[in-house]
This record gives sequence, C-alpha cells and structure tokens, in this order.
Amino acid sequence: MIDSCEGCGGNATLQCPTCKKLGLPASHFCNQACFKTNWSNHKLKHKQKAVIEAITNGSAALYPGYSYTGTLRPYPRAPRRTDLPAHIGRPDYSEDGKPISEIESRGIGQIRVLNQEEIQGMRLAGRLGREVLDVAAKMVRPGVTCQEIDDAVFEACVARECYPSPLNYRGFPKSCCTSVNEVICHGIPDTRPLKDGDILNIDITVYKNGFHGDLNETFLVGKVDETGRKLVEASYESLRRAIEQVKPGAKYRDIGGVIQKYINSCGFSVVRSYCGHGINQLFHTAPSVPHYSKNKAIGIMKPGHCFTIEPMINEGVWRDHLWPDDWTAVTADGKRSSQFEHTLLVTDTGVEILTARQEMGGQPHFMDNL
Amino acid sequence: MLVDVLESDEEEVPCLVPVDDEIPTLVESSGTNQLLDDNVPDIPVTVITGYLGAGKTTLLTHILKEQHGKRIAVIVNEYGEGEAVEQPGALGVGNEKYEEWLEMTNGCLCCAVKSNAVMALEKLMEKSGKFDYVLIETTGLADPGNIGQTFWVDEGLSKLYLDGIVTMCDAYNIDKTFQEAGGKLTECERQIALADVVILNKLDLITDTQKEKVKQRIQSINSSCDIQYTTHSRVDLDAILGIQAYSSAAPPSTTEHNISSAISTVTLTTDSILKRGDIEGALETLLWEDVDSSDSDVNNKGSHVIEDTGKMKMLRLKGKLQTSDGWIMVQGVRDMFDITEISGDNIPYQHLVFIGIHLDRKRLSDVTKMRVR
Repeated sequence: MIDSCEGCGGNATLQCPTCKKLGLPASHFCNQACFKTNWSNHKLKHKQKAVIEAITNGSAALYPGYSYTGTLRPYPRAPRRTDLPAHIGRPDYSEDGKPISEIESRGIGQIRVLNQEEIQGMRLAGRLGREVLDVAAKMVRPGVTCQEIDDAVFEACVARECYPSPLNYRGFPKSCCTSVNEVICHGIPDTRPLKDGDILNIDITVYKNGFHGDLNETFLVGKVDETGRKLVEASYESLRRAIEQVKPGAKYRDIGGVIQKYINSCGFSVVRSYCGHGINQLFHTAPSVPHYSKNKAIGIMKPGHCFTIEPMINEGVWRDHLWPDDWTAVTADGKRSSQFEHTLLVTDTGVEILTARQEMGGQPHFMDNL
Repeated sequence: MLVDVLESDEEEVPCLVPVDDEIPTLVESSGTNQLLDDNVPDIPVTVITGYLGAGKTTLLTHILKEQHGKRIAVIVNEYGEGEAVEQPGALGVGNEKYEEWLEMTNGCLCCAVKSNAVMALEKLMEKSGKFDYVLIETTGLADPGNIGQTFWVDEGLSKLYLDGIVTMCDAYNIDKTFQEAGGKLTECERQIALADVVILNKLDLITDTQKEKVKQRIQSINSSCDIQYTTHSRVDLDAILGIQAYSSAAPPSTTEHNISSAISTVTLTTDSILKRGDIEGALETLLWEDVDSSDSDVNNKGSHVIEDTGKMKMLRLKGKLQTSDGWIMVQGVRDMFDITEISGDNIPYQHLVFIGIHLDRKRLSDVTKMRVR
C-alpha cells in the first residue's frame, strides 16, 4: 500500500521525522519541497496539547520499557503531605504504612457484627466520607488536575477532623484514588490536567473516631461520548441492583451474579481481580465481596455487618494490568473502566446506605447534568 | 520551558526521512499477555506438607530430577509458624534461584481477590517466563488449609490452580508423635486430614504390624485420601502430581476404623434426589454457622499440638450428589466451598465426605438430611 502525501495527495514514501520522534501517527509527504510548502500547517500537529504535555513532563521516561495498555501516562506528583494536624486521630498504618490490625485479624475470617455504638461510628464516617466526595465532585472539569482534587480532599478531611484513609495505607502516597479512563482503580492523583471527554473515578475513604467510611463515584469530564456515558450508567445501575439484594440471610457469593448478569446484558465486562470488602474499624476486612458470578465468597449477611460493593465495569475485556507504580490498575486492552461504591450496613429488614448522597434524591453526580 | 524550546526548534523545517527508514525490530510481547492467553494451559499447584525430617526435601529433589523439559517452580516456605505476616520464601526454577517475599496468608488485601502469593508467582512468571508446575513446600508445622485456600482461586482469575495437597509422613516417627500428644490435637493430624495424598515414608524402619497400625490411624483421620507407601521418598509422580483433587471426588475407598481421634472422616449418603438449594443451605449452616471459626488457625506456639476448642471444625469436604437439576460435585477447604455441575457417569453412589475436628455425626446427618454410611 502506498501512502498519500499530506500536502498534495500524491503518492508518498517519506514521513515527517518530528511526528515520528514524538510518536504521533505517521505523516507522509511526497518530497521535501511539498513538505516545506505545508510546514506552517503541518507543524501545528506537533503542538497538540497531549504531545506537549508528554514532553514537558517527561512522563514517557517514568517507567522506561513498560508497555502501556492505553494512552494514559503517569504525570509528576507532588510530595506526600505530612501536614495533617496532630489532633486528628490516625489509623495504625499512618506512620509506617503497615495496617497491623488488619494483618493480624486476617486469619480469623469472621465477619464482625457491629453493636449500636459501632454502627453510629460507621454512620458518621459514611456521612463525612460522602461530604468529602461531594467537595471533590464540585471540582471536576477539564483542566483541573487530580493533584488539585487530592489537595481539596485532604483539606475537606481536615475540616471534618478526619484522616484520609488512603494516605500511607500500604504506602499509598495520596489522600484519595483518582482513576481516569482506562484506570480501573487505585489511580494515584498526579499533575495531569483532566481533558474534555475523560471519565474520572474519585474514591474517598475517611477515618473518623476509629471508623472508616468508603465510597466512590465516576464523573463525566466535559462532554463524554455515548459509549462512555453508557458505561458509567451501567456501572451505577449494577451497583444499584446489587444493593437491592442486601438483606439479612442473603449470601455474599450471590451479589456478583446480579452484577455480572446485568453487565453482560449491556455488553460490558466485570473486573475480577478487585472486590468489595468488609469495613469497620479496619479499612479492609472480611467479608470479600466479588462482583462476578460463580465465586466462592464466604458468609451470610446479618444485621450489623458493614461492607462495600464497588463493581468495576470495563468497556472491553475484564482483565487488568498493574502499572509499575504497583498501585494503578488498568484495563488490559486500554479501554475505559467505570466504578461506583457505597458503604452498606445490613439492617434488620434490609440495607442502609451509609454513604448515600443527601441531595438530588441520592443520585450520583454524573446524572445531575444528563 | 520545554515548550519554548520545542517552538523555536520548529522554525526550521526538518529533513524528511524515508518511510521505511529504520523499521524497528519487533520485540516479544510481554509475559503478561502470554499468561492471560486462554490457549496457554493452566498451571497446577501442589502443596507439599509434613513434619521436619519426614522427607519433603528428598521428595522435591526426586521430583526435580525425574522431570524432563518441565519448568517447575519450587517455593520453600521457610518460616511457617506463627506470624500471619509476610514470610520470606526461597524460590527456584530449575537451577535458577530467586528470593521472593511471598505472603502465604489468605484473605482480603486491599480489596484484591488474589492473594499476594498468587500475584507474586504471576509476577515472577512475567519476569522469568512461564512455569509448567508449581510446588510449594511448607514448613513442618504449617497448616496446609491456609495455603490451600490461598491457591484455590476462583475460575478465570489466574492460570494457577490448586491440584492437591500432599502430606509426607515419617512412618517411624508418626506413631510416636501421636502418642506423645496424648490424645491432644496435633498439626500432623491436621496435615493428614487436609491431604489428598499421604506419603508414608521410611517404611523400611517399621514392621508390617506397625505399618498396618499406622495405616489404620491415617485412615481413621482421613478415609478418603490416597496412601502411597515408600522408602527414601520414592513415589510414582503420577500418584501425587496432576491429580486434580479439587476437580474430582472419588468416594472413600476404605472403611472407617474405630480409633478414637478428635479428627475424623464422616461419609454421608442418600438414595433420595436432593434439591441443590437445600444442599447449599445445609453446607452454609454446617460450614459457616455451626462450626468454630474463632480460632486463628495459626500455630503460634511452634508446637505440634494445636489448640482444641472442643467445637466442631471443618477441614475438608468433598462429594458427588444427585440433585433435581443433575449431578453436582462439592469441594471445600475449611469454611470455603464450591459446587459445580458434573456428568453423573461412573459414580457408584451419592456421597458427601466431611473431614474435620469433633465431627458431630448426628448433626451432620440432620442438617444434610443424609445418613451416615
């Protein structure tokens, strides 16, 4: 196949070296004269924002040799914040990153039934977590960086005398997770400005008076294409349907079937490597709540159980890769992933959503502008 | 700043280069993709457990020598007891040696379904190429149930799958171990209870009468395991590797012996056709509600005697049953169980085999609505 010249449309066997160097799609030209004639137009291609950003940040060099599954790249990050006021209560991992209490409880495997006092603690943590997410939600627009969102999350936690649970949890460097486009979960906030058309998940957990409250939502940044919107809608709907199943006597292993059945019908796929989890005085504990069908999850729901459901739904294949930062989980095919999460309490009659939004009838933020 | 540099550079029109100038040499796709390729066969994991001196290392050496053309990863879990935290594991593939930190505990890690051990192995395969087989040697006093649960991952999650648990027993010392425990629960019994194959080693050191006694003792604990008799850890590798113990469940071939032991096997059967939902409900009751799961399953004292709460505790479960929706296979390790649909060919009778501590026959029978065989 012979390529056509970008300038005159004739046959071309040469290409622009700058495009090649920048890793842009090849631009072909028939000869140097034609190239010269069209240079003033053509060189604009080299100034595409993404290209300039990539060069400015040197991001391609962050993990040399790693082959990314999609187009997203890590950007430089601000240093870990260490200015949390001393009076705010901290979890056991805040200093050395090791969640000792979680590790020690792991062999036990029992799902804890919380007493009334503990339930009140969870309600407060859930409500404050929601407030912090609502603060973050207001910031989402093209041009804003996830670093700025992370700073706002940190300040919002401090204002509520909460510890941002992700901070230094197993060494995580930031106060929340921000997962853009092909990032499934655990994206690290960095200085990449959000782009029109991105989808962004913000995952917030706060630690208040000894309890964690955990939730996330996916946001539409500017104008997102139809498939992207459908993906986000489907992931929210799958969570909504899963929550409907929560009541005393229900089995944790059955939640995944409801999610997978719905998601399959939408033509999307369910991530298998990450699951919902018990949450109380521990950030992550029993039970494990897989989001796919045919799992071996242990346990039956009882009043007083607290756990999350947080289905991660992919536009393409369900498989995930891990970036060399050992946190950022991305889709294996580089297509987008969307997620929603609530912290739930099993009540005597059903379920209480501890992280429910208090306005707009509890609907997620992305629906406000649809 | 870099942007400025870029713009000033752009004032000069660069020279065009030929299209096929310097076609880069194709690079091999990363190991990850290979691992995820559905055409690549799954990789069996066999857990080898047994007391120090039982002959595990000799067995490993034997396996590695026997194999030709297979890449076998051997994980030696050096400090098995106590700590539920990361434990160093030495790992070798063929003659290469790696040092890796492998977390052998199961359970939730930052909402990841796969355990660190599974992920560490997958990562190692990305780095060093695929294995054909994985052998995990546990320390003398390790509870194989923990490791078993860790590698019994849900379908489609990993190329690794649990093939079986092999327990090495020193025929000469096993009787002594039981006697010294004076009726207390021992780790040795738990290892036998969880075994799919028991290798009774060092047979040359005991008489035929003693052998019969030891055999009966093993069968009284676990009447559904296969027993291999040997000296110098020499066994037919087909009997211990690639046995697919978690995707097959033959009925116990031996009769139970009336040796009183805290750990025992109870086999239930029925002539009725049960409802799958009822079976699931019964197992949930027995495995999640009835049983004692309060103890941490961690042998903190480094002793071969394990804590006995006096309550019923499941270790292993397997069976094949006929339901109104067809035949099913039941598999379980401790509180984790799975039911899969199977074809009903060549199943002599419906059976459900429980191996555990202080099994209450009447309770098992009442809840499952099956009779003790």
